[in-house]
Amino acid sequence: MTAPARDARVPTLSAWWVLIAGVIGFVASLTLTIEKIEILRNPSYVPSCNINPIVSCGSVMVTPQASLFGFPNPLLGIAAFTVVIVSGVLAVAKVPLPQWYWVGLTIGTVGGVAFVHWLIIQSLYRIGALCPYCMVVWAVTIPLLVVAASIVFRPVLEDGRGGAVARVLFQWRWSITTLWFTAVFLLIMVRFWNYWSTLI
Amino acid sequence: MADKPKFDLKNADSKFGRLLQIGGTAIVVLFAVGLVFYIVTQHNHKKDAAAAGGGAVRVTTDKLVTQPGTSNPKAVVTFYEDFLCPACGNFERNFGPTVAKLIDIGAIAADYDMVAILDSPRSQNYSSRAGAAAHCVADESIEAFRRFHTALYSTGIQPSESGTSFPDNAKLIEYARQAGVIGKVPDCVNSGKYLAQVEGAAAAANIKATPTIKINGTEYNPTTPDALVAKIKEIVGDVPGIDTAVAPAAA
Repeated sequence: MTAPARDARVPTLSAWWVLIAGVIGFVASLTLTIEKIEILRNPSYVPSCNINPIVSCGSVMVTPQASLFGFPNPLLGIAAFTVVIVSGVLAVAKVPLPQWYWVGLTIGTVGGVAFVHWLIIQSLYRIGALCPYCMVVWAVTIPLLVVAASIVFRPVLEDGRGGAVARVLFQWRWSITTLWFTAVFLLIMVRFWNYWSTLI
Repeated sequence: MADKPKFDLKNADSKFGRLLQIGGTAIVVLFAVGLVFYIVTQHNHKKDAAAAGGGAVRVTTDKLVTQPGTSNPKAVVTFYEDFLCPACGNFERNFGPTVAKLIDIGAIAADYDMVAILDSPRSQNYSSRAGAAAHCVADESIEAFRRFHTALYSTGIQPSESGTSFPDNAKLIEYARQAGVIGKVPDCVNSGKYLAQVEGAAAAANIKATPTIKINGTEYNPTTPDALVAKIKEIVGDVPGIDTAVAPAAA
């Protein structure tokens, strides 16, 4: 291997993952922002994602939680996912990026994942509705953290550093992610069971 | 690099390791999903059973037309309504005066089964709270229940399903007072005495949409108040005063 040791070696699959997650997250944030503007322009506008009383973004978008920092959350998403897209493009193009860049992206994604979980709790237990585009963002942000963190930790672990716990976490990362998704899915099923059971 | 033993991260990627990972994860996922669904469906069965004993509020007068030789009404009209449902509001505002007349002349016994299919934390569970409050009012006085029921569906009081503010329990107690009862209503509303019953009412009666109207147990789709009167007349015959529907009050 001739690559300098200080360069993070990004596997092709991870690079594409970062790029695709960035694009999906960006499109979802953009759609939410456009829908929000439509609602502001015309309060009786029915957003494209109002499907039934539970799956409905209109009722979610007008809540205070949807503008946590005083402006609509998806604006943050547009900015953040743009960075993710650029990182993905650079990684796919095999442009060597320093380790600290991926550390930075991982820290940012940790923030994103924390925010997403706050939104999941708010959506389930405070607002009582699910917004499909928001769920797309939940669904890409969590695996994005796994990929970004594995880009950071893979070289460390391959060098034999890092404890046994870190190695087990790394090897089982996708199992843990799957279980995490299952847990969120089950929380959604249980929370709105009274409604889902009427659809059967 | 060669002098340092490289840790083999591919260990789990060997065929066996990968099978173990995928298989193990799949088993845990299936087990968790199965367990949760089992718990949820069991829990719901219990709720249904608890609610089955409850039932509707019956509104009649002593002029009620009964089947010969019994005290069973000839026509029982059951209304399954959710206090938050806009269609129920429309129905009550259009048909309510006619239904009230049919009750008053003794043509029908009206069963009001308050359901809560629109309950959500976003609406502060208004459907079940209002439904439970109506049961509390009915415990005190059926006449007051009729006024309370009409009031909650009137324009200006019925909250919008997509609105942001919903009457709280104190407000519901105030509406009950305006309908003419206090008594045990505040205790009954605040203790949530009928909440579970109203929450389970839709499932117990297998109601998927509101308003659902049943005449002697058969689902009836009302078109106009006049059609409803004609339908009732088919069942009970010529009751004094049945001939006309009552025009809804101008909104």
